[in-house]
Amino acid sequence: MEQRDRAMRRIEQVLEMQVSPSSAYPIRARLGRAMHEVIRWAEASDEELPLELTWLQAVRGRAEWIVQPSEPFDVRWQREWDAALADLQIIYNALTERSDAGTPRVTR
Amino acid sequence: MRSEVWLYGSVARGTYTAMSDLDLLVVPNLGPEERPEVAALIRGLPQVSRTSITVYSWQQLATMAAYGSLFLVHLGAEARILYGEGVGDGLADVVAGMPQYSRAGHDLWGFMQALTDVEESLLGGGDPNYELGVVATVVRHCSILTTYLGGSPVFDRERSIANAFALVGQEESVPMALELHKFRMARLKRTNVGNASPESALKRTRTAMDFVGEVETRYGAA
Repeated sequence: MEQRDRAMRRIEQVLEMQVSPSSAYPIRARLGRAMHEVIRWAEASDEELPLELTWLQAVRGRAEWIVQPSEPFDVRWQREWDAALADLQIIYNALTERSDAGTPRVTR
Repeated sequence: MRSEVWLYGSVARGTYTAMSDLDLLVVPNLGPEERPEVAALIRGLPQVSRTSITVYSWQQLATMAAYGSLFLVHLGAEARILYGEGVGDGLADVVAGMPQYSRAGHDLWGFMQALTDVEESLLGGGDPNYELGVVATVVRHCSILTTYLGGSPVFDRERSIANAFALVGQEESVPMALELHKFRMARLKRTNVGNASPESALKRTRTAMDFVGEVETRYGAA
């Protein structure tokens, strides 16, 4: 699986999961993994990314805060969830467009 | 309204290292006039790698208390108050008389789902070091829950893992479970632990799945 495809698949795994108190735990882990794979792709890629790497790193930073293990599993994670989901959708859309457009050179 | 600041985690237990976090609970947000006093109190605490501040409202804590939140059990077991001002019930009142934790079944499902995701990621070319950090987190949380379900909750990482694996008869996996922690630290603190192979990561993930599966078998109906 290509790195970009892997990143997209990990984002899909977050977006497709029903958010509920019982799914909070695995969905937070999925969010962390999705951002890890996005950054992994962005840092290793020769492709031009339609989103700033620094912004992606900031999203990852916020995601890490949401998923950090010292946080309890309940009300806390929900606070930033909507914002994280919106960021993730932006990234997914950008990756989808990039998949359709081919692979130009990177700018960072 | 009452304001409180509580210290919990390894610093509260006295088991911290230089790599530990300073874990603080603040309820609710402090007013500007309270902050200098609290900042001075925090400066007097041991210097560790990072300060992690969790802020809750009293209403949120009441919601969590209604289902016997393990986080509140954790606080009730080891937290130390640093600061308290104002009138009204405090954390000790919230924790007192909480019911038994009622979400163990959900948590166990979540742990297994998270490990299943790790397995899928590893089989699909995911990053073994990252995934082992996830496994470490799941094992830690499942261990705490297991000791709670076993009747003697333990929140210290090493003791909870040792006790939990013993409770389900998997003592031989304790060294592996403890060693996972370095991958979590590598992710959080950017330390270097070398590269785990996908095969060894998969093996350790499946050992963790065996552990969670056995906890489900023994305590899943709790």
